[in-house]
Amino acid sequence: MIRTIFNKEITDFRQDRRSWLITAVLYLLFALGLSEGYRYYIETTTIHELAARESYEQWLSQGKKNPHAAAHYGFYVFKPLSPLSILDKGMESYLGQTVWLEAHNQNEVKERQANDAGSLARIGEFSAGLVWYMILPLAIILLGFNLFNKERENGTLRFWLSSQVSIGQILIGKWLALYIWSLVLLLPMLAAATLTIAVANAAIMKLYLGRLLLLFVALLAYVAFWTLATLLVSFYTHQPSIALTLLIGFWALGCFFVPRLSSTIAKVVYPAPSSFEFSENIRLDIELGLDRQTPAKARQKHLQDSLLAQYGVDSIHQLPINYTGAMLQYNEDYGYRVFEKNYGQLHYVYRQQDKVMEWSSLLSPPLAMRHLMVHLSGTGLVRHLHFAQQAETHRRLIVKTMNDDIMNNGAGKRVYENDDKLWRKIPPFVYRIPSLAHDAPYAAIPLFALGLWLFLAVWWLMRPLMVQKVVEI
Amino acid sequence: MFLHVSKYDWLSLRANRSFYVIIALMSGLVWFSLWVGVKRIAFQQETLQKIATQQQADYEKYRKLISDINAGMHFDGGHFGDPTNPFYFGNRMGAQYASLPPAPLAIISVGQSDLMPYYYKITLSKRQALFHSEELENPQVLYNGHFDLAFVIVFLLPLLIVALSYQIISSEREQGTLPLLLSENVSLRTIAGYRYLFRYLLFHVLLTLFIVIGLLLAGVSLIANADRLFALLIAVWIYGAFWFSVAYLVNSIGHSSGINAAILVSIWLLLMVFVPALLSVWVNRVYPMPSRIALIAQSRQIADELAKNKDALQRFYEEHPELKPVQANPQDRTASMLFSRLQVELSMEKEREAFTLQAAARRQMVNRYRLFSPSIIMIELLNEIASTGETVYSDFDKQVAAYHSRFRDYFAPLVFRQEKFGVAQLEGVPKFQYHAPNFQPLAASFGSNLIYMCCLALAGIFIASYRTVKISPAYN
Repeated sequence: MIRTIFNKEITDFRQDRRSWLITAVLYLLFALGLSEGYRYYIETTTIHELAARESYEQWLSQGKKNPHAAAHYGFYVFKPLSPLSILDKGMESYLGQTVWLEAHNQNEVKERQANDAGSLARIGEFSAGLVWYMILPLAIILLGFNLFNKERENGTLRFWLSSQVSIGQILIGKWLALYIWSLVLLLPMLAAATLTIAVANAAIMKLYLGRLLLLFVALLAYVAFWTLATLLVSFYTHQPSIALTLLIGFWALGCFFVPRLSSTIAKVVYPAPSSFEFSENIRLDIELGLDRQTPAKARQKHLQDSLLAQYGVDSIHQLPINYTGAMLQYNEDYGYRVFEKNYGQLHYVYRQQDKVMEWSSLLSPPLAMRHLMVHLSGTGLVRHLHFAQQAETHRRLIVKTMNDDIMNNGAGKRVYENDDKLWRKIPPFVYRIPSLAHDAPYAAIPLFALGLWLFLAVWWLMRPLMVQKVVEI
Repeated sequence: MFLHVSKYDWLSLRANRSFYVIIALMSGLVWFSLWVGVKRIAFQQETLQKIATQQQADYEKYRKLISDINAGMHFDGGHFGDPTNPFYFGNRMGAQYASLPPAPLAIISVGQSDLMPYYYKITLSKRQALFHSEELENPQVLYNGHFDLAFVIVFLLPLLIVALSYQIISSEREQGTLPLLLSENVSLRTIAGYRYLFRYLLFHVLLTLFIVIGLLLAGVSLIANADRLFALLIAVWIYGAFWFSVAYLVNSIGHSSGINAAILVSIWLLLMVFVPALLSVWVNRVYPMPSRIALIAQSRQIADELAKNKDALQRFYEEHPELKPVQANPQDRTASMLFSRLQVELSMEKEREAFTLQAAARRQMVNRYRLFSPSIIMIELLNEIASTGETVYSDFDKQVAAYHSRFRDYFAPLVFRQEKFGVAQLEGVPKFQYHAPNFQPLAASFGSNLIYMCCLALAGIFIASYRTVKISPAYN
C-alpha cells in the first residue's frame, strides 16, 4: 500500500511544473555557488603558495647579518584554505590569512578579505553550502507544503480514509516520496561537489574524505528533518497557503533572525576587549610584568644575577656565553607567557561567544547545519587558531635557533654575524591538518541540535502514526 | 469618505488580535535594536576615551623624562627607549592616535563600523602598515551581522507590513462581503485604496513614534540632529510606501489570501536575499579585489633592494643640505631607517592606488545595479545617515593618510639632522583633528535613491488601483 502511495506522489511530482522550475533554479544557484567556491579556492591557494615561497626565499637570501637582526626580519606564513571551503567559505572572509613570524612579537593573523570587499559582501555571499542549508529547505517547502492538505482541498481525503489504508501508511508513503525526490535532487549535487573538490586538490582529498562523508550523512539527516517538518505542517493545517506561510516563516526566522540575535546575545554575555585594550594589556604586561609589579628592568637584573651565580663569575663580560643572546631568549620566554595569557583570554572569550551562538541552533535548523558545515570543513575560528598555534611554534623555533646561535657562538665577540647556513636551519612552514578526532568534539553542539530537531520531527510524526486520532477531513 | 473607511478599518483592526501582535513586535524590535546600538556605541566611545587618556598620560610621562634627560639626568633605558631620540620617540613612545568619533545617529546602523578601524595608531612606520590595522572581533559575529535598527527596518518591517496588508482585498472575498462592496456606489478601488492608505499612515505614525521615543531614550539630541532624523523618517516612510504598494499590487491580482502571502514572501526573498547575493557574485567577477598578499613580498623585495643601495642616504643629504646633521653620529642609524621607509612607501604608491581605484569601481558598479533591490538602496541610505558607510571610512582613511604624512614630516627633519628631541619639540607634535564630512540629505545619490523608490511605490499603487477595477467575487 505504501508503495502505491509512493508511486502516486512521485508521479505527481514528475507532472507538476512547479517541481521542474524548482529543480532548475536550485541547480542554477548551485552551479553558481560551486563555481564561485572553486574559483575562490584556486585563486587564494595559488596566491598563498606563491607568497609563502617568495617570503621563504627572501628569508634565505638575507645575506650576512647578526642572527637577531635576521629574527627581526623573519618571514610570512600563510594559512592554507581547506578544500572543503569550495563548498562554503564559512568565516574565511572574516579571518586573517597571513602572519608575520618575527622576534619579540606574536602577531595576529591579518589581512581579512572582507575589509576590502565593501558593504555588498555583508548582504550577500553565495556558495554551494548555502544552497544546501538555506535554499534546499526552501525547495522542499515549496514542493511539499500542500503534500497532505491538497487531499483535503481536493476532497480526495475522504476516499483515502474510506479505503483500507491507514493514516500511518499515507503519511509514510508521502514522506518517502518527498524524501526520495529530495535525495534525487541532492545526490547529483553531492557528486558534483566531490568531483570539484577532487579536481581542485586530489592530494589533500584523502585527508578530508572522512569529514566529507560525515557532512553528507548530516545533510541526509537535515533533508529528512525538513521533509518531515513540511509533511507534518501540511498534515496539521487545513489550507495549503497557511502551511506555506508557517513553513516559510519558520525558515526565514531561522535563516535571518536567529543568527543576528544570537551574535548580539553572545556579545552582551561575553564581551571582548577592543584592539587598543588588548595591545595595551600586552604592553603593560611586558613593561611591568605579568603581576604588574616586576618591571622589565627588575627581571633583567634577576637574570643577570642568576647567570653570574650559575657560572660563578663577577661580571657579564666573563661569562662563557654571550649575555645578549641569553637575555634575548629570556625576554622571549617571558613574552611567550604574556602572549599566551592575553591571546588565551581573548580566544577563550571568542570560544564562549561561539558556544552561545551554537546553542542558538536549537532555535534554527539551518543555523545548526551551517555550524556543522563550518566545523567539518575547517573554515572557522577553531581551524584558524590551530593554524595560529602552529605558526607560533614555528616562530619560537626561529627565535630560539637564532638566540642559541648568538649565545653559543657569539661569546666575547662584539660583532657577530652568520649567514644562510644558519637561515637554512629553519625549515619552511608546513601546516599539519588536525585529525577528524581533533575537530569532531567542536561539532558536538550543532550535531546535538540537529539530532534534537530530527528527533522532534520524528516524534511528532509518531503521534498520528500510532495514535488512532480522528483525522479532520 | 476616507475618514469613514478609516474608522471602520480601525474597528476591524482592533478586533483582530494580530494587529496588536504586529504593533508589539514593531516596538519590541525597534527598541531592542536601538538598545543594542547604544551599547555598541558606548563601547566605542569608551575605547576612544581610554585612548585619549592613555595618550595624555604618555605624553606627560615623556615630557618629564625628556626634560630630566636634557637637564643631565642619566638614562639607562637603552637607546631604543631614549625619548630624546626623535626617531625612537616618533616610532613608538610618542605614537598619536587618529580617531573617528561615532556620529550621533550611529546607533541605528552598524554599516562598516565593525570591520573598519575607527582608530589608527600613527607612528613613523610606512603608510602601508596602516592597512594592517584591524579591530578585534569574533569572525562569527562579523559573519552573522548585527541586530541594528537598519536590519529591523530593511528586513523585518516589510514582513510586518506584509502581515498587516496581505489580505485587504482577498479577505473580503473569503468573508463573503465582496459582492456587498462591489454593489456600493463607491468603487472597490477607492475603498481598497483608502484602506491601504489608512493602514500605511497608521503603521508609519506608530513606527515614527517608536523610533523617536527610542532615540530620545538613547540620549540622542533630536534638535541637534534634526536633519539626519528627518532624512531617516523620510527614508522609512518611502520604503514602507514601496512595500505597501507591492502588497496592494499583489492583492489587486485577485488571488486568495494564502497565495497572496506566499507571493509577497517570495518577493521579499527575491529582493532581500537573491538579488543582493547575485549582484555580489557578479561584482566579484567583474571587479575582483586585488589581493594584499602579493604586496607583502613585493614590499619586502623593494625594501631589501633599497637597503643594498648604501649611498642613497648620502645622495639625499647632498640634495638636501639643510637636513644635514651638525655633528653626524655614525652610530646613529635612525636617519637611514627613516629614509628607507620613505623610499619603500614611495615605490608602493602605484599599488596602493590600484586598490583605491578598484574599490571605487566596485562601489560604482553596485551603485548602478542597486536599482534592482530596494534593500541595497535602503541599507546604503541608513549607513549614510548613521555615518557608518563606505564613504565615511574612505574619507577617514584619506584624513588619516594626510595626518600620517604631517606627523612624519614633523619628525623627519629632526631625525635627518640627528637633533635632540626636547620638550619644545614634544609640544609641537601635530595632533589629529577629525573633520566630519557634511551630511547632505538632498545630495545627488541620496536624493535620487529616495525619488527612485518613491516612483516605484507610486507606480505600484497606480497599477494596483487600475487592476482593482477587475476584481470580481469569483477567484482568478
